[in-house]
Amino acid sequence: MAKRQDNEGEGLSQEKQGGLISKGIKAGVKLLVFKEKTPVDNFILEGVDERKQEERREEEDVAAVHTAKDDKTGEKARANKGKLRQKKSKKCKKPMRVKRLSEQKGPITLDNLLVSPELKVNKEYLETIFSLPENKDFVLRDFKIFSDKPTAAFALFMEGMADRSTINEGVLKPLMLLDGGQDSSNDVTGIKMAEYIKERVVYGNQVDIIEKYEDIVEKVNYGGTAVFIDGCPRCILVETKGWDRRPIGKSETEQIIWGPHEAFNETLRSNTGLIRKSIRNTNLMTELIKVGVQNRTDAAVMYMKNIANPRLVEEVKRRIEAVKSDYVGESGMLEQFIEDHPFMPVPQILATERPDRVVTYILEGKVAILIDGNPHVLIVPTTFFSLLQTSEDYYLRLPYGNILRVLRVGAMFIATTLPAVYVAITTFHQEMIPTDLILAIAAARETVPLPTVVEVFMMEFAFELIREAGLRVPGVIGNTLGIVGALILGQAAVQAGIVSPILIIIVAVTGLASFTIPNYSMAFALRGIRFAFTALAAVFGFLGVSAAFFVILTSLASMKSFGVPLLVPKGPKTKTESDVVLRGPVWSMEERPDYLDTLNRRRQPRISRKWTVESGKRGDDN
Amino acid sequence: MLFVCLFSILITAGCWGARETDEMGYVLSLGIDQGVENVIQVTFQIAIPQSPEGGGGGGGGDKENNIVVSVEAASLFGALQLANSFVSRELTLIHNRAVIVSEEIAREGINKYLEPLVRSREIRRNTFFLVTRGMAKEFVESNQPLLERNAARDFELLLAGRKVVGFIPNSIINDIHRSVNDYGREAIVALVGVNNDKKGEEKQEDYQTMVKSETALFPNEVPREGGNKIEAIGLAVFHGDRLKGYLNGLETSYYQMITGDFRSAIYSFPDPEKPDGHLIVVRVTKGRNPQFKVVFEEGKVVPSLEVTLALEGEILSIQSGLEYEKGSKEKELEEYLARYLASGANDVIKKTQNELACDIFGLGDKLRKYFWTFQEWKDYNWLEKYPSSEVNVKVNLIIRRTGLSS
Repeated sequence: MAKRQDNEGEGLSQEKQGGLISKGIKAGVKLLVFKEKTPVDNFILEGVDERKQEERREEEDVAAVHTAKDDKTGEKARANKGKLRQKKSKKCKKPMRVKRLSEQKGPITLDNLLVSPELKVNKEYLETIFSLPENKDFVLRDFKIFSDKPTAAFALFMEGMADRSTINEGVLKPLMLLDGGQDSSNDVTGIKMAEYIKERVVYGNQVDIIEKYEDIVEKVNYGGTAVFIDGCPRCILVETKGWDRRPIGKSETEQIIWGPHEAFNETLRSNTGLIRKSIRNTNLMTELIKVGVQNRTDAAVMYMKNIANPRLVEEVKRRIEAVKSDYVGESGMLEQFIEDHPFMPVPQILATERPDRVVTYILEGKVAILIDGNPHVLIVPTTFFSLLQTSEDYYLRLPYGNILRVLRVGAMFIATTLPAVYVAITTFHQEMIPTDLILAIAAARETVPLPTVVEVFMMEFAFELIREAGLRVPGVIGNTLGIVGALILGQAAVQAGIVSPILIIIVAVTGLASFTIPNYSMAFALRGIRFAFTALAAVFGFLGVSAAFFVILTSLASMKSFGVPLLVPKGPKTKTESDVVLRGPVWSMEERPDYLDTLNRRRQPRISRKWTVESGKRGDDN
Repeated sequence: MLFVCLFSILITAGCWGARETDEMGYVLSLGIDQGVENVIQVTFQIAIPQSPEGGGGGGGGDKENNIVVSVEAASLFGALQLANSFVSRELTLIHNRAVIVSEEIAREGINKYLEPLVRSREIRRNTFFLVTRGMAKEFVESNQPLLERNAARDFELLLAGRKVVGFIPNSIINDIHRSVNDYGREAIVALVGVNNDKKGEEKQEDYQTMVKSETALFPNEVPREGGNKIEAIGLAVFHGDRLKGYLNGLETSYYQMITGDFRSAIYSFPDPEKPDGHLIVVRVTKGRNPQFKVVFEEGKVVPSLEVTLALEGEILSIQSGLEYEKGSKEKELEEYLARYLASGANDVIKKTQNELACDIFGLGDKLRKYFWTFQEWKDYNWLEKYPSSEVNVKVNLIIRRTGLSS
């Protein structure tokens, strides 16, 4: 690099030359001199440290106590637990002064704002926060609580997010009609009133009594209904979530033939439900973390408490919590925020939309990250080999599953190297292939005016065009486009003498092979790598191909996914349960992956098929 | 940083020899003759690439698929360069399948033509090296394969035929180059030639002679009509790097039996009980590798060797209809066949000892282990002593299959 810049400098005029050269040298030296990377807080998954684990347990206990006080409903307890911890770490040093509305000056901020006992004040306040009545999404319903002395109240909810009938039947109806029963004492006022309503009046299955505006806004934004009562310095929040959602459908991007077909949809709670449906175990933890500064989307971190390495869980939560960005509402975006090597082509986090796959990984000791509004679930840590696997591999009998696996590994090599090998052989190493074949290739190329490389790049580009166009085009003409594209590319290009027929085969096989890669990101990575391979092959022949292989392999070997090397269990060799490319029988997979360093290593006893050793109870041989 | 390093490594070490397939002229075979105006005349057979669908525009299937050019030059590669003065494509030997030298060249010494072939990285060492009894140019020109699309493939299949016939020996550059410079063996080269549809002049009178001469032929002697004009049968015996003599097809099959290269061949034996007009046709295959027994007798410098061949037979035809496969008759037949083959093999050995004085069987290699140093072995000069050694061939033949009819 330095040399090249020197040469450039020589060509220029004399007076400029000196400056340029020194600049060039500086730049060159900068490039050549080894620079230490800026230290990053790297996470390495090691053995579980006993001491730290104890500390953590204590911490958890504290949190549990807090949550027990706060609320009894399970879900919110977990959510609050996360929040509590967050608060604890952030705000324990400097306790903020709690402000009342009367003290409020200047523009209203949500921080530490509390509900006022006066209904009017609350109303004004909410009108400012939600920009009522300009903001039409929020509905403020005034009513009077039916009791001996009717009390003014209002309910606030969001149109479209909250379920209409639930609000009517579960919130407004009991409050307006049914209260004032015989044992209601008239002197119930203030906070006690809220308690009373929560305990005896409102039907909602999740009812909270909240003091802070921060929490109220968040709940209302997520479909809750807030009820404010005159004279009560608390707000009653009823869970009335209910919006239009896509039903659970078939998996579109990871289709299999054998096994369950259901896929995640866009609702976080039904997604967690799908997982919990398969793992009926109280050790399955779901921790909710808010991501995105503006959108505050829920991200759920799911893992097995008794299996997953606590340090791994901690790291996952640390990374998600540390993401500060306006909008993180999609698992792909979150993936980019928390992955280890953003510039490497190969993905380090596995995304799947199949609950059965997530379940197997969670039971293996990995951690799943679900994001609300997204059907794709992230699995960490991920290994390179799991990117080439599908759940069907495990469901099928051993020989069939292995056939699929071998096929897919072959496809991976074809998808990355076939065009490169073709270019290298036809332009550099013609002696490598049989005479008949080279003569056939030569004959096919006889009419082609372009060099092989140009030909290959042209066809590859055209193929990518078909793929992309088929994806973007409206569904109705999508199929036609594929046929037209294939016809035009295949038949016409050959007849026009622009490309050789053999190349069509090469490109088609490469395309087919890249479609067999089950992971979408991985398929992308291989497509990108393929072009690099082809370019290198065109310039350097097989030397280029092998150099590219070298670079790819070394960079793969250097990559990590949440503290676990990407090529494990082969990169650093670890103990493995014969499930890398080929897999062993399901009953032989006795231990969880070594690299995860799980709390509970054994997956099944050494003899899991007990019937093989049961004495005296053998079935008849015939 | 990393990329700069890698790139410079690639640039300095990269192979900058990108060549498109349609810029190359692939030489399929080349022939070497004595030159008239210069030292040698080299004939190249260059492939014309043809698409598999058989010529879309032409419609005719019988398009020429190769051209033959001859150049006179001082050396092989000189000729290759000179040929590019009128051949538009860069000639390359990377797909060359056979090198054919004429009898004249072979008598003069093949070493100086083998050496560049072995040294060149374009030529594979398993390229066929062949001797033709006429002009190499004529042979290359005559080789217009009918069944195959290119001449290289034709050679490959023709010479691969040695797996089922006995009269074509293995003849690749690597082996020949090694044996030419070996102290324990002499080189042999497969013999090829052009047959101009020459039929036998007159029918031979004797039935026995006809049977015996079934494969005892040289190129240009095969009684046939039609087909590709070239044929491969028999071998050329070299003394050092000079042509010494020939073995015909039948002798070649015995030669291969003794060296162990033999795979299988079909022999016609006169019926021992009805010798006139009746044959027993047997496919003979190699059972095991031949066993060599070396005996250095007291006081004698030259050892005596005993070669035991283990062969197997499959009866294809017994024209007389006698039931040889039944009972003790089978044993008798086996012994008869073994005797017959042994005498044939011994005749070939006698011929190489007396007439040719060349140890083409590589018997010397079996003696090497009796010498402590290479120098001793070299000084022993086995190739000179071979004619005076005593070699005896024994044959063990077992009939494995008798065919379906009884």
